[in-house]
Amino acid sequence: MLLKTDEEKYGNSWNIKNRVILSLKGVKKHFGGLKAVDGVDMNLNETEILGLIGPNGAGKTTLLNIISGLLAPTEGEITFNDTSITSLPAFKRAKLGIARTFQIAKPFGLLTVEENILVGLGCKLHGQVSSLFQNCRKREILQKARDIINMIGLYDCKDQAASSLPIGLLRKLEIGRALATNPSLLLLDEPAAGLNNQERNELSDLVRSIRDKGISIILIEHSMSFVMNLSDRIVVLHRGRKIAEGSPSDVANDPLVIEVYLGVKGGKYAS
Amino acid sequence: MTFGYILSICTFASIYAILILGLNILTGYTKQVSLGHAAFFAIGAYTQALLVTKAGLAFWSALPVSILLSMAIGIVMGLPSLRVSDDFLVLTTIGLNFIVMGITEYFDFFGGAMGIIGITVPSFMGHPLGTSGYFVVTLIFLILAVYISYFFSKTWGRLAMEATGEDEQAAQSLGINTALYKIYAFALSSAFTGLAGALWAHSIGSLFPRNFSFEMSVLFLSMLVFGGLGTIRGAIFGAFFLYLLPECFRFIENYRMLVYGALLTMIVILQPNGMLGRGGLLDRCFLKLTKRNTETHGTLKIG
Repeated sequence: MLLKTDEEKYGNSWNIKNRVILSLKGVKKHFGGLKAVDGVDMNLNETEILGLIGPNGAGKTTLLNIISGLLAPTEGEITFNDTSITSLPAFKRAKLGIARTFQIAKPFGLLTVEENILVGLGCKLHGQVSSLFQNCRKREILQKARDIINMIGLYDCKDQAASSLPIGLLRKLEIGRALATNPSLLLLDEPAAGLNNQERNELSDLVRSIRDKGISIILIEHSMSFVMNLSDRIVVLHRGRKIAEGSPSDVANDPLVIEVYLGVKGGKYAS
Repeated sequence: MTFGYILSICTFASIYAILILGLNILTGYTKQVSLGHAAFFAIGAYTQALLVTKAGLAFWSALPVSILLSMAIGIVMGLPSLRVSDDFLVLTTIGLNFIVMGITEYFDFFGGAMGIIGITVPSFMGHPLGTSGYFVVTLIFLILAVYISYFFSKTWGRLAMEATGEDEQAAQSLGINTALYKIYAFALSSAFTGLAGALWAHSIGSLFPRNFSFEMSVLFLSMLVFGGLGTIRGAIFGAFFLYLLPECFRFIENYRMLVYGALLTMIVILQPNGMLGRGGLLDRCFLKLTKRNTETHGTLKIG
């Protein structure tokens, strides 16, 4: 009896790890006649890396935009940490702890690397009238910014304009900027696109270390080796629908996934 | 050239510098190009002139009203910026310029085409200020405006505005309410411009609608772009330089606009970020001085 209440009170470790942090129910997004996302149900557990794959035009980025709030879903329900966020605008979701990077890196080019990180650190403060009066370069804030810059390995160019960085560093900068908002969910949209092998390895180490800090990650990626090594679970999208879900090896051997990627004569998705 | 003439030229230049500092917040930080800033300039000037000549208020008590009214109208005019952006916002601000000019021209309350005349130089502690006294007043306001701009450039607000201007989606994904910051930028910018307008009304003495034509808006934007978008030093430099330049070329009277135009074109081509802008001449000289320290970083940047 006593044991049971203890367990109810604290839960067991299995429960904590499998606490659902984000859930999508029947999410649809239609652009006129185009069904970019057509009824996706998906759950994301705490500290999980979820790989989101699918052929071009499968609706991966649209789904990410819906989760981060840049697009409103046509239908469906999104729950984050047990509260519905379906109607919240993007900046409020960011304040709740959903951070993201972009498929085409969107740094604030005129600002320095350090200032880019500072913008993220001010996440909770932005929007209040007091933000117009408060100095953003207080020592403890700068220290936090330096820590993040060190973590993403950009310390040497912290005073350079972000527009002068090459693509590999820009992707790291975007991740750092997203981390600065202190998120509990990080959405990575093709972070490895355009990177060479060494940069990719560095990036996967970085993504793992972010997960070890207790942040859940949704990862969109076309590079199979990258996403299969990194993900705990994979969701495959095709034409806006979820066609497979499971561990990387299960998904890789799923006949439907193989058909979608490679095509089978006379198959369901042959075109 | 008499001393009084030089002083009054400097007074006007200081007033324009205050205005450009305001425009810098809107166009330099949030990248919302305004080609209608003469409208806010007119609102400040006309409010001040009407309060002083018709309501009989003193300079010092009318000034806050002019600033606040200009700011309020700025906020209202900022609302369209939430729906339109880039080129369409420019067109909207041009429209605003013509609306304000039209209103001042067609309503007798604003003096119509005859304008408002007899705006005296204000007095301080009972003594009327002369040209030199008024120059000191505008200079104090300019220093105040520079201080506020400098203070603001260190705040979260400026970072959020710059982020909004660079990429709205990225800014939103970092918790920035971009709509709010656009409105903040309009409010701050029009407050500065209203102050400049009010000061200008007193130093010119009479207001006519043509003083606030579209050409003025173009001049204001050129001043900012010439000096350097997004920098305080550039805003002040641009205002002083482009205002004083035609005055300096008075000796070639007939060709001075030609020289002025040619110089402007040259500099926009050679220095697209403005004379003192980010990555402009000054920054490059500064970089050369510190090159030894950054040489190692340079290789990293490439690799």
